[in-house]
Amino acid sequence: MINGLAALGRSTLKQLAGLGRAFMILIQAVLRPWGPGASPRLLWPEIYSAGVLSLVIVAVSGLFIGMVLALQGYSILVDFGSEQSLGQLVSLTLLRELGPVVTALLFAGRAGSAMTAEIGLMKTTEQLASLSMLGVDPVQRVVAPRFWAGVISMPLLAIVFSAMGIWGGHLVGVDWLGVDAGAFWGNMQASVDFRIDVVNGLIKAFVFGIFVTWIAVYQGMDLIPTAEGISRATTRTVVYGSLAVLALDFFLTAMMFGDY
Amino acid sequence: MSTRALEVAVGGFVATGLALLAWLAISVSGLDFSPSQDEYKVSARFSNIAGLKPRAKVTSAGVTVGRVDSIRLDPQDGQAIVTLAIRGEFDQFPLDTSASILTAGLLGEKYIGLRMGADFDYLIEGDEIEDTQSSLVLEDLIGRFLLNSQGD
Amino acid sequence: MSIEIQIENLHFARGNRAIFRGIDMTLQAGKVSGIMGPSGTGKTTLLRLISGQLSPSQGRVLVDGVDVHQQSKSGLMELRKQMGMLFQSGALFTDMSVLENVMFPLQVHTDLSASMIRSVALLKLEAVGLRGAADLRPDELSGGMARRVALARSVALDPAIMLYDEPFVGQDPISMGALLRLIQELNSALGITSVIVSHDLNETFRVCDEVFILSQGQVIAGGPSEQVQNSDDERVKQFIHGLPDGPVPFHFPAPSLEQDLQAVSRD
Repeated sequence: MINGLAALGRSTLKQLAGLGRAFMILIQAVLRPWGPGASPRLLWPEIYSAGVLSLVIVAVSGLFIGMVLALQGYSILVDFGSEQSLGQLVSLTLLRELGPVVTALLFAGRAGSAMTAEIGLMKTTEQLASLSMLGVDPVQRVVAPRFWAGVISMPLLAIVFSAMGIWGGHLVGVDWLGVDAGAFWGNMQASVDFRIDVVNGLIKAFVFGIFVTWIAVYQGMDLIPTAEGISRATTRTVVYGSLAVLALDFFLTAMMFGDY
Repeated sequence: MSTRALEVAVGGFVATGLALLAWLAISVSGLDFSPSQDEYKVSARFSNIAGLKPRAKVTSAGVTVGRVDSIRLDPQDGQAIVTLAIRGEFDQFPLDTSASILTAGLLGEKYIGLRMGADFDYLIEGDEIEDTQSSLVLEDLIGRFLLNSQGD
Repeated sequence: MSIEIQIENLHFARGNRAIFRGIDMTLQAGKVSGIMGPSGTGKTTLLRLISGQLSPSQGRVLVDGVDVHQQSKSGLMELRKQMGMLFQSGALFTDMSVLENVMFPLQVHTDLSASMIRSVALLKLEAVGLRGAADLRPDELSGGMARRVALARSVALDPAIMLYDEPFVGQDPISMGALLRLIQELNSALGITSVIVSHDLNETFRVCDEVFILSQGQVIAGGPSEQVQNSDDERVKQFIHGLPDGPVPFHFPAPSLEQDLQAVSRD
């Protein structure tokens, strides 16, 4: 009994210590991202790695999801004679929800796990220890550029996703299913508000970017430096990152769209 | 990857994102950049606006002539004061124009329809539309129908 | 000019396992000192304690009279500029070429011009015999070559102290010879205080002026190489002569054999 309690206490302390370390890494990356051996120029290769290399999967996914939304939406709306509202349905669903959320999930899986693996490998091969021996803060050189790359790339990727999705919705709705183009775009424009829908979607993407990237870099820094440790850490990045996105989405949606 | 190619790729990524954002702003959300001096505001009082929202369209004969700018409640007589922003090019609405709250289609949203009157003076900034028709509330309609059918 | 390292009453534990239980050592200025012991005694940990990457629970490490763990971040940075460390795996930065790896410490810590930095880096590579490999990437190098490049990188700033973490592990005889020669040259030519952590007996005794042997968290022998090699201490003798059984037992603690076999047959 006492052993159980002691184990629980130890485990809790361990979790708290982990959370503390994660927080310290975040503060350092945000407040002091540059230093000796760590210049802002390190950001560009990381934006390429996190953002540009994710473009294809995000764009293609967005296209397909937009097309599916139009298909499903049409089949439901046509029963009410309201297929004119298809543009509205597709664009609002994408801008407010699917754009930021699905992009973040894809990002966690593709870019997030890559970051965790890279940092973890550098830890395992003692490159991080070498950096500190050479007087360079590994958080500044390795973590900060990746963190900022994630925060900048996520909203951009979410925009690409939503735009591709709306285009996909148009392709299916207007070109294939025959919804009137004027009605499609006209109703859309009338019901999509820039501030409420587009900007809020961007804010969501920005918040998701912060959390997913934070989890990814922390898992990389904190893992057990073995091959198995890296594998487990990348899995945690994807799982925790995805769960965080979904939970945050609920809270953000409630705050933003709760009171009509 | 050479630094130059890298910078081009990253720059292209950011530029594409911003361009698509602009497209979303204009073509999808219909963000309007026309200066607001191009509009003039008139008000109208309704006893029930049920479901009318700001930015709802204001039409005349089915043509969109403006937007609902804001909706306020007059605490003294419990009426809703709706401010309409009408585009400057439509400056020939007679003083006795009527405004009704209508529904667009079965699931449609509420909007304001203007019907022109016959006065020689036109509405200008700050005027009030006197002849208004409030939103039809389903319960009232049913109530009236029942009342009428009982009378037969 | 040479720097002495003094370790006083050092205690360190990982979790509830005590790694060091009061270690005292003087690593003399300008000499090559070896630290040896059975695997798991925490030799690498000791190097990390000296360089300030880990903190002791008790005791201190003095480098040139300065307490390593009482330093501020910038003070520690200054101290580290004087120390070069050769990691077991070389630990070259995989996103840079060989030359860029060697230039890195110079770029971070000096204001020299780019061409000057390049020249110094090439000279360091020349000293380890790998100037021709300057444009290769770390994954194109053999283990021995990677370690020599890492050595060139660690001496780029002409440190006064060099820490070697298991430098002889997994080396073929030729690379081994090359490495030994380099260590000796650095020490004799530049008066660098060298600390080698290893469990390779021959090489360590060959190159070190003084040797310390650790076992179970304590120093069980320390002195000039000759002296330690001829020591009468049972534990030292077991280590040096590679006797499989002695003070460090062959058998991991277990219940009697009969008990285990009976348990098996009962299933």
